[in-house]
Amino acid sequence: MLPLRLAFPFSAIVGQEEMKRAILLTAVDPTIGGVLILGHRGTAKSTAVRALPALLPPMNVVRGCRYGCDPDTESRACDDCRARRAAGEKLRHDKHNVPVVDLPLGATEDRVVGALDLERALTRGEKAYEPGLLARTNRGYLYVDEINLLEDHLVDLLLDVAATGENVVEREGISVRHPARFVLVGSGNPEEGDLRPQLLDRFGLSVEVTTTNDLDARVEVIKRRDAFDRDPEGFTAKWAAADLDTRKHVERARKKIDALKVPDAVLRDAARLCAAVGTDGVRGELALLRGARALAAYDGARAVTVDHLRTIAPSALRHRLRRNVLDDVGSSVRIERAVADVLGAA
Amino acid sequence: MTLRDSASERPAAVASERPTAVATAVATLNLATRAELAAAVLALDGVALGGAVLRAPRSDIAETFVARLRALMPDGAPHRRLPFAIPDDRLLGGLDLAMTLAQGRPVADHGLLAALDGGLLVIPGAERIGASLAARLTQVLDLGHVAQRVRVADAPTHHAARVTIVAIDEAEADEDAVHGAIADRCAFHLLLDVQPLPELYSRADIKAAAALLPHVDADTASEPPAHPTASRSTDAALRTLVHTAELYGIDSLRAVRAALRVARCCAALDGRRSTNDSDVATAAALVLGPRATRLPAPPPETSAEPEPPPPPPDDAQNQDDSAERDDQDVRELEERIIEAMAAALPFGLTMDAPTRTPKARRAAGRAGSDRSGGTRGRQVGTRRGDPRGGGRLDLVETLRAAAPWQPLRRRSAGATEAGSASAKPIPAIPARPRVLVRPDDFRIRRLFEPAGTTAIFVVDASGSSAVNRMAEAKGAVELLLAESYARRDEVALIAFRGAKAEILLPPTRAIAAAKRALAALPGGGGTPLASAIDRAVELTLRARREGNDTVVVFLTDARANVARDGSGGREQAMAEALQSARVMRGLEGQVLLIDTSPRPSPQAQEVAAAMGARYVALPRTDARSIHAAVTAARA
Repeated sequence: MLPLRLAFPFSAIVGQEEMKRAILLTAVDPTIGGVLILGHRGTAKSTAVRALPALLPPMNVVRGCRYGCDPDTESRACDDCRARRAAGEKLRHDKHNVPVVDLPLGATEDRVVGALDLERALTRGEKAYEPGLLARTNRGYLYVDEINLLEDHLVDLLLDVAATGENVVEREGISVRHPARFVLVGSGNPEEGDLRPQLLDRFGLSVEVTTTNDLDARVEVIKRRDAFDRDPEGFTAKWAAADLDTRKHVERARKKIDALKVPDAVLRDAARLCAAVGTDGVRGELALLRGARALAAYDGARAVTVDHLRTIAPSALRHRLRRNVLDDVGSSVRIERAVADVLGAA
Repeated sequence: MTLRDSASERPAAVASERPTAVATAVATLNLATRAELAAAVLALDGVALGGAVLRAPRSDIAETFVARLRALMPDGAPHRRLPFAIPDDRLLGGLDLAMTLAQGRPVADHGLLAALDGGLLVIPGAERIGASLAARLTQVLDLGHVAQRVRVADAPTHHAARVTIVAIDEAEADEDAVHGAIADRCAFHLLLDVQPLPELYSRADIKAAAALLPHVDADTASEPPAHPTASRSTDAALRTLVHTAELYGIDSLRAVRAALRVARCCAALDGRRSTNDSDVATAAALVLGPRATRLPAPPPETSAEPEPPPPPPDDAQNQDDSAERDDQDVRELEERIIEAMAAALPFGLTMDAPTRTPKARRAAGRAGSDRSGGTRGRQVGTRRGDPRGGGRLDLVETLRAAAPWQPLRRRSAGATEAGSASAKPIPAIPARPRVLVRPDDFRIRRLFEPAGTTAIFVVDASGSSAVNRMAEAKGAVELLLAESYARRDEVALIAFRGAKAEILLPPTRAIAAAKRALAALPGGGGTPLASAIDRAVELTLRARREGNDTVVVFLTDARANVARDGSGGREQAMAEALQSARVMRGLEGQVLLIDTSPRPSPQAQEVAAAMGARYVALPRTDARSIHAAVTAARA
């Protein structure tokens, strides 16, 4: 089989700390929601996402399961796995990399949600379900480059599935539901069109990436990329230790996070912060708290503190501000002001 | 061979004059020679460099470049033109319907890109590529493979698809260019003229260079700490390229990375194992030159260089020798590059104030423009048709159509099979009888996608009341933008004053781009109404091509006094305006003329009538009433 091109190592990405942090935090706690990455071309957006399978801890997957079910959480198992268990089968499992699925713009609904199985329809005249991209995405990442250009009906569909963790297919006479828990990572260039507000709000975190103007950093970016292009294996091996270190951090954080306490004072601060910037609904508050908790876990802290809140606030809130077309003040600036007002200076 | 110091002297073995001539005289290279060099570099390292975007005065000239590139690529490298409306099945692979039906088992077709592995994909009319096709192509360019999309036993999960792209940009001067995601990934942006490409290289040269390429600067790139001196020199080249990109307003780091590769290719083509200054200058001119969005700030002491500009050579107090020599290297190289770049800058950059970058323009017009009639949207029914034409097969309906004929077909199929049974074995027939589907049975989904609206504002920025009018027009555009935020509508803006009209904002949904354009809107001068209407006609046609409805809104008193050629004279100006107005009428779109003169002006009414426009007198224009008028016109 054709060896796939190696992915550029996550740890070798120069700068873009906020983006890397946001992505890692969703690896610690996928319930934070998706990550929206806004920025110009060539800012390592795709690179960061495509580096995840090699970076994140591999996961256990039930052997033969089309939806990548986890052998240890029966509550989230698909119907096939339930049936197999019910029939008394002992499910075996394998280690797989965390899936990262690219959703191309203009992908058909068939490809995304799955469709009638052509083979069986044509050869046996049977109705059977052929899983789509969402099935492969279960427990992983769904990456949509240029998500701001995604078609509306697909956006609606992704929102529904992301919200429920389940893909419900009712079409062409087939009726199937299967688990589809995933972290939606969308990237886009805001100059090429804005995202619909409904979609914006569903993202847990958002980051704005820019190309650095620092000459040394830019030189370093290209140097690493060039070294990687010339010798992918050698370069990857050189960064393997750094990647492994990050992976261990994620693993430790996952074990720790459930035991982490969020003090009442921090809860109150979070609520006051959301009120101060005027985000609608509870999504902002949830993302803020979950983000802060994941960050505390990743940092190895004993409890969530106001500093964690302060760090994560711009990512958790900036995309939820009411847009005012006639107002020029950037969202990040408004958040920073609110953070300074509510939480005091760092 | 690994010594950096030998870099500047070419090995005697490589005696040909062409690479040196090419490298040293890059500033004077003509378009054809640059194109030849680009073709050679692409033949050498096209997969890593993405490819080229071509602009040519005629399509046959673009073809000569393609022919040249093919002549340099390995013999037998596949080559294909991208059909404009290619379905995913054909592009990325899918089920081969004809074979599947014939054999009664799924037969995968790996698609055009997999078939082109190691070859050349030519995209004619590349400016028409929408966001979704661009996204697929860039994904394949980035990954170098396509995924197996049909579940077939024992099929590999991926197929290599390492392609080089030649995107032929046939856009007219003012239209959107090739999609930014593609253009960014193509190392070369070439302009061709009628001159034929000089045949400087042969396939054998490319082959020799290909063997050499992995070794060019290899010692310096992979393990920097081991060869400090050498690596500093590569560093110098790289730093210079990064700096040059910054000076010329090129944000994309991909371009710099490509330039570095191109420099190595130049060295390999020249038979050298390390790059020299000429290579770097040539690469900068070829890759960075056409991407420039601004000219470097004039040299006076405000230079953007990190170090203060000291008197060049003998300033050795605070730096060690090699670093100092390095600095000097960098400066010399930089001067060379700037000289080389001068010849390769995009046309127009040197003449106009560079307020609108080509990149921003290109990006802005693209949003939502991807409406390839009838292949997406909500299903409203089915019709008989061939799914290979881009339509989507409706399987259930297809099977339903095939059902009544099954007994009959099975009988006749049985008869032929029985007749030919001895001749050749029939592919394994499944245990249960399969459904016999004939092309006649295919049912295609009929899809309906509501069209968006493009509101084109044509604002009179001339004369004394311009300031007020412009402010209100801006207000109205912003209101509409806020509204279109959650919809698929676009807004465009044309301003006219002085000698001619200008498209300030191509159709866009992007608030950021729109606001920038609005902020920069000037006022005062004459009234070139004819030119304004012409521009509006242009934008209308463009929006139509992308499947949008249009509403054109003129804000003017219609006192035309500048003719198309920029000369004064009311009579001539008015006659031309009426002439253009009739063209506008011919388009039969929604047109609204808002008369902004203090009293309803007969001229404005005359122009409105000639355009078939709805006429509204709004002597005290304000953003809200304009907005209301437009909303009414659109309803």
